[in-house]
Amino acid sequence: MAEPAAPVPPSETPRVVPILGCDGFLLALDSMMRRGGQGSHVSQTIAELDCLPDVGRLTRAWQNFAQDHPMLLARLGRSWTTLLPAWKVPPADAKHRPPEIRLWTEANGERSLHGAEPIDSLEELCARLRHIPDGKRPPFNIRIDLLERADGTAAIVVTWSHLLVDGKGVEILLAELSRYAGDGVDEDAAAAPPAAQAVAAPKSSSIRDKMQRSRAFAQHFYEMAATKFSSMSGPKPRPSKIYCRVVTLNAEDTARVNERAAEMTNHLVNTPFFLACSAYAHARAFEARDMPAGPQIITLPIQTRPKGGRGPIFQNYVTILFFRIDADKLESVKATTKEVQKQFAQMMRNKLDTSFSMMLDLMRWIPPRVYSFFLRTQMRGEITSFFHSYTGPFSAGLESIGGARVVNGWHIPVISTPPGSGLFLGEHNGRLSLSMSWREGAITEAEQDLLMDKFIEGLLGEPAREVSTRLRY
Amino acid sequence: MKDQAALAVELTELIRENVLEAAEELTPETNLFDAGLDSMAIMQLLLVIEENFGVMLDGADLTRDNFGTATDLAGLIHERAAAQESAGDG
Repeated sequence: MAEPAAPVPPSETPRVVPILGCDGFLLALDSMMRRGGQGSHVSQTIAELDCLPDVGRLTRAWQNFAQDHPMLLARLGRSWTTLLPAWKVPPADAKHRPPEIRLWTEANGERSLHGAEPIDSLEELCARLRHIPDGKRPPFNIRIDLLERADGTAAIVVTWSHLLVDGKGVEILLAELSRYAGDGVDEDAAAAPPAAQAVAAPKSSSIRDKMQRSRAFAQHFYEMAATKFSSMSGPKPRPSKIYCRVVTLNAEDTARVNERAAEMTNHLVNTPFFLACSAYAHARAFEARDMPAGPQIITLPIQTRPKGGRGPIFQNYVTILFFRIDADKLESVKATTKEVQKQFAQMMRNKLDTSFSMMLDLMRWIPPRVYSFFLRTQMRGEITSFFHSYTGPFSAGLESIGGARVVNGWHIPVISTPPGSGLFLGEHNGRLSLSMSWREGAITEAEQDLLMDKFIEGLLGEPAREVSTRLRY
Repeated sequence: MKDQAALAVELTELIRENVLEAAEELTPETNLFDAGLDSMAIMQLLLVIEENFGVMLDGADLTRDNFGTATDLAGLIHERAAAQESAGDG
């Protein structure tokens, strides 16, 4: 498991940083996506602000952050000492052009932002940034853009390589940006501690011990792999663009969702309910195609960052739980939640989260192309029935950036084909944001509506159309 | 079973070692949610409680009040252990 060693201050980031277990999994996925004409594994995070931030302050904060974190300019290679894929990090004092924050303005706005380029909408900007060809991307692995909205609000768009960082890492990065900009995170800026460590090396443990501890997951995985299941796209990787739709519930509806989650599970652990609602929505979409609702194989990412601290920022700190939900358990959200909860408790009891981390750790040496071939042949070309995650409170403690208040935040997870679709949740200030990502050609327009409607129906317990007036697209 | 105060101290140590390993300062009165307790950490904590105290908490016990601090949680464990003991005697 990728347990962190002693904290590494940003300025002391090692020159060679070996990949972690989950990084290897994402490298394999990235390899499949590139070879299938789906582009590299780039995702996005949006922070909505109540007004334009101080652009000068924000730009200086980003440049100072980049100076302290040379991982932003790291390139993937192979370490000749460990033979592992590794990030080659330039020295902290290396000369490079500082990163920019590109400015945009919605064409129908008043354009008070000097030097901003016009763009139709936030959606248009996100799509344009996602689809920049690899060869035309700037040298930094993470890019920041600022959009002035027509209504006087603003949005920060972070476009990031999933090979280097995960969603939680980007949330910590935003909190760091706030600290560098002098906003303070949850206390005075001067007193706010920096993120605990920029990168962390995996704790050493013998190969024999790792093999022993990964055995439980291997057994579980082969049971999952023996299941015949489908995704919305089918098993063949296809060149395609990625699309996303985001719905933010208001506080009242979010409270109702949480109350319904508590009725079905309890007041503190709502992950099984959210996963069940995603599975329920996909079951209805499969049925609309005259396919069986299940069995579904679902992967649930679980954070492995040490809890109680802020950091590390870079690399992927995730393990995965695999669920199998049969068709008879997909008839109602209540039945699905009960089944997910039962399997979740059993997997935790069997320590499958740690066992999978061990497996991922051992697989880091496998070349990405062989890795993805292995994964896909085990599951007859599929990976999962759909992607899903619940990222919890968005950048907890982040109040403002560059003097502008953060009013909402969410991720746009870029997914592959297969599976072609994903439903995700996050939360900010008592409001849930629901994101749906899909690949061109994987689901029709009617299926997009059906998936989102059934997702909302599952969460709120009433037809989506009746609550649609309270939703913001 | 130990008295509630001693149980709270032991529980704090177990939480520091197994659940909130990056928390800077943890005492029996620390608010566990402020210290980073999330869904996954609660699942881990339930296992820690079961493995170390032989007490299985059920869904109705999982509230913010019961999990607010190690002291609150120690009170709940004490109560549930006593109930299990008397059920066993009966």
